[in-house]
Amino acid sequence: MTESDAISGCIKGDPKAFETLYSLHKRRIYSLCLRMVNKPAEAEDLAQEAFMQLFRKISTFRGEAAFSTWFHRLTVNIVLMHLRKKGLDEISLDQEPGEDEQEHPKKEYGGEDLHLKGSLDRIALGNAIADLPKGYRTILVLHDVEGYEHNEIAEMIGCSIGNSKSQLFKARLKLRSLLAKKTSKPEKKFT
Amino acid sequence: MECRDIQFRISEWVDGELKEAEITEVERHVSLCQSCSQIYDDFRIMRESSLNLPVFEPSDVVWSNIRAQLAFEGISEAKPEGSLWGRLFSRQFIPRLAPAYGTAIFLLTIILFGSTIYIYKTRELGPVAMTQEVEAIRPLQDAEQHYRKAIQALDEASRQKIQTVEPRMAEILNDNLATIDYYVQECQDAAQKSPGNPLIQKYLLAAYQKKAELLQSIVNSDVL
Repeated sequence: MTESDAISGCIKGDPKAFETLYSLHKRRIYSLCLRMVNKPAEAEDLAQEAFMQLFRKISTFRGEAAFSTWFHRLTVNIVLMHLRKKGLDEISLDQEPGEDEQEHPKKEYGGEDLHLKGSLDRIALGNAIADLPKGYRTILVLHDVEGYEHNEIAEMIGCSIGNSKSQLFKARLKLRSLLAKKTSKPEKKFT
Repeated sequence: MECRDIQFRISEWVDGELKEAEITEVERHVSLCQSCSQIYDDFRIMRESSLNLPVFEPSDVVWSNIRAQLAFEGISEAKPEGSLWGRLFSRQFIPRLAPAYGTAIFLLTIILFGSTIYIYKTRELGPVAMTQEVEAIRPLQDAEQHYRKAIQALDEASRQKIQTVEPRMAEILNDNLATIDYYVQECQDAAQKSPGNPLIQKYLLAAYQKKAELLQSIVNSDVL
């Protein structure tokens, strides 16, 4: 069954169609949730809710955007709403974490020789993203991993475009620092 | 322009958000500043690598819960328009309950209602230990056993009734019964994979209830 057939089938209530759509999208949806909340059990609950919302609202899908784009946006909204319920500080992009000042001297953000060299291990990158503070992780996942533009992120999170860009920059510096710390020598190449 | 300002521009440059004049300025600085040059290389590598992160597989529990919830909410019901199914569940069509079957369904509904309230109350107390969840699910399992027996009795009577109707009508009724049996099976599978999950058990009971209602309607209908 193709995705298009599965979508039509879901609208008609075909159980096999539901299963097909789930199989096609379960990994990406769950991975998105996991990267944003960093807790497997919580991510599974959110993924379940995302699929249930999909099946309830699939008749409203008009086909103006790609289905995966529409579904991912729906999932992101569910996760963000969940984070808001947990507390505003979870996704606040307006705070200046105190630790930043220690990580990055004011005059030169580059600081010590923390540069990466060569290729970057995907697993190491994924682990480093998981170690980011929640606000930084949210913005980095939405922009770099999921591919949302700053104007979209600003609308979803409720901040300005400038704020979104600024926080992404800080998130990248922090991520770079985390990745470099995983190696014993700054010059070591990631494999 | 200081390195701090340039490095913010580098982040925008990597995303393709700088204008030509800005790119020239940043390129010139990067060519002269080793620190900023390193940041540019690292941001570019991180950006490219972020597009190919590994994906993870959710556990089977997620799909089990979804299947059960779909059946419970009646979302995945492929009912054709104007089918006997729809008419059987319309208010004007549900016949009066025969006393024996009506009493059985009433009692089972009370058990289900009480069990559901019990489950919600135990959940309100906060995190439930595994042994408490097992205790909470026992009334639901007892209710399941009662439903199974009621359905067994109704099943026999409904089969006899279906044999007396015209073939086309019999085909529709059997299709509808097959559909609901599918959802009951879905819920049973989910309950088997997640034993002790009161939510799935509740969905299973609701599926049984639907089957019992349909069988009862077939048995008592005067229009078949």
